[in-house]
Amino acid sequence: MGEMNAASPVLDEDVRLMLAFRAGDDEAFNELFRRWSAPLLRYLNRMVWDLAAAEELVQEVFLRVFRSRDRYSPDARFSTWLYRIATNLALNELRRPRYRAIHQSADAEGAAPIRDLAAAPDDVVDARQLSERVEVEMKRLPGKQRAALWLAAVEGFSYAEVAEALEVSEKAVKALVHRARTALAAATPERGS
Amino acid sequence: MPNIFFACESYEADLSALIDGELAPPRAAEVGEHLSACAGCSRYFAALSGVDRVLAATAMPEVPAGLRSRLQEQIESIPEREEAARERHAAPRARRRLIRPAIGAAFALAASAVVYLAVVSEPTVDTGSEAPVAAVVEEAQVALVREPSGEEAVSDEAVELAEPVAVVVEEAQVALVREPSGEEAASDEAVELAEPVAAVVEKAQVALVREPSGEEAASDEAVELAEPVAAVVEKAQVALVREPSGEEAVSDEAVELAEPVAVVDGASELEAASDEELGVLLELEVIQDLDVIANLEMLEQLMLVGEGAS
Repeated sequence: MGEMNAASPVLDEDVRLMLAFRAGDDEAFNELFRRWSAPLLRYLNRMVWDLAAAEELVQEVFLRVFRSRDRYSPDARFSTWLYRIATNLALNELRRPRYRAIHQSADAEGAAPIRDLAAAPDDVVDARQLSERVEVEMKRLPGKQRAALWLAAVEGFSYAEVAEALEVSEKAVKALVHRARTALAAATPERGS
Repeated sequence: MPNIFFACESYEADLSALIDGELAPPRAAEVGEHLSACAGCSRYFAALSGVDRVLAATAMPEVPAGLRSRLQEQIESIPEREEAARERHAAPRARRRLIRPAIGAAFALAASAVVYLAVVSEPTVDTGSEAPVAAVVEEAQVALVREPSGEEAVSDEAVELAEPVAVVVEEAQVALVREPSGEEAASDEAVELAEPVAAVVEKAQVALVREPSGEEAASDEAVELAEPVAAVVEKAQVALVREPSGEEAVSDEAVELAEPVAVVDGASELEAASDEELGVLLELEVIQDLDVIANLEMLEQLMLVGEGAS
């Protein structure tokens, strides 16, 4: 969990910065970039699994923040707004044919490890392997499941906030998160015997 | 995902929500008590929690120094671009505000029309008149997709592209407001104004009656024609299916797999429940300042006009 957890109380500070930026304080925008670019890059890289593409998306997110500053209204947490922009961009990015190809190849790669895993003794699953296996599983998840799980589990968003970021219902978020977590849980040593 | 943890069915779905602190306190207590007594659920819960630990351990990447400067370059190019766009469009702000709410309505209506046509397009059907509408919708959708950030998303480009359709809807609405008593009251003016859009829907409905078999009736050309709006319809379809039978009914994977035929299925959904469907389509719009109720009413009125014209 990063120190820039979306659920942390520093969020008021983000809103203050955004309002200052809206009022013409460019340094406030710099500060928002400093605070959020790394967590966003981490999230977007887990969404598109391509660091260069994720960097471009981070750039695009902040470009939109910049251009939308006049219309920003502090009725939601800044991070919800920010991640909503990022999630929309990432999901659009994933619709490109090249990502479909990546997704399919992850499917092909992932099928074998998951079967192996079910048969492997727990003690051979060390932390690195575990992490790799979770990654393989995560690549196979549909984009919205990936986004929902990440926002809830890592960024600390409430389901209501995830729902806002993904533009779906809270009930849908509950299902998306659970489905994603269950799929990844198959790669953890605590699975059933 | 099969339940490889032998968790109890009545608790399984809530274990993830418990981790996220999303269960109401009484249910959280109930599930917690069950966990202490049930080995299967307990294993499952541990596995689910393990996922979070792995994800949370994801290293925070270093943001390349060049990223901020590239962003700055883009930012500095904004004023020129936007100034140029403003001159090109030369549309007063007030006018834009009128047009924007109409875009969602026009887009939803025209999208449904295109989808109808996708299903029923046959050599016997003259599909000439929908082309302008379809082209506008297609381009507008592309522009909207490029601007996915929500309210801010309606780019000037999108507004400009959607304008030909939006104006029709907007003016038809104005005409209808003058004649508010229903189908019979629709003025000639309103009928005339709405005709370019309504005719498409009407023709498609007629053709649909002739070819009720749906999927089989869709030609390759028709599917190609409707492809630009497939994403919208796909989402609408999912949303509709969720309504009666719960969101678990349609997996994301299934939706993805079904995409090539989503247009066809979406069309029959449209036929079945137009108001709800159009409402869903409107919700799907990334236009946040849309007055959904007003636009639904507008759409209903336009439909009446379309029928009145036939």
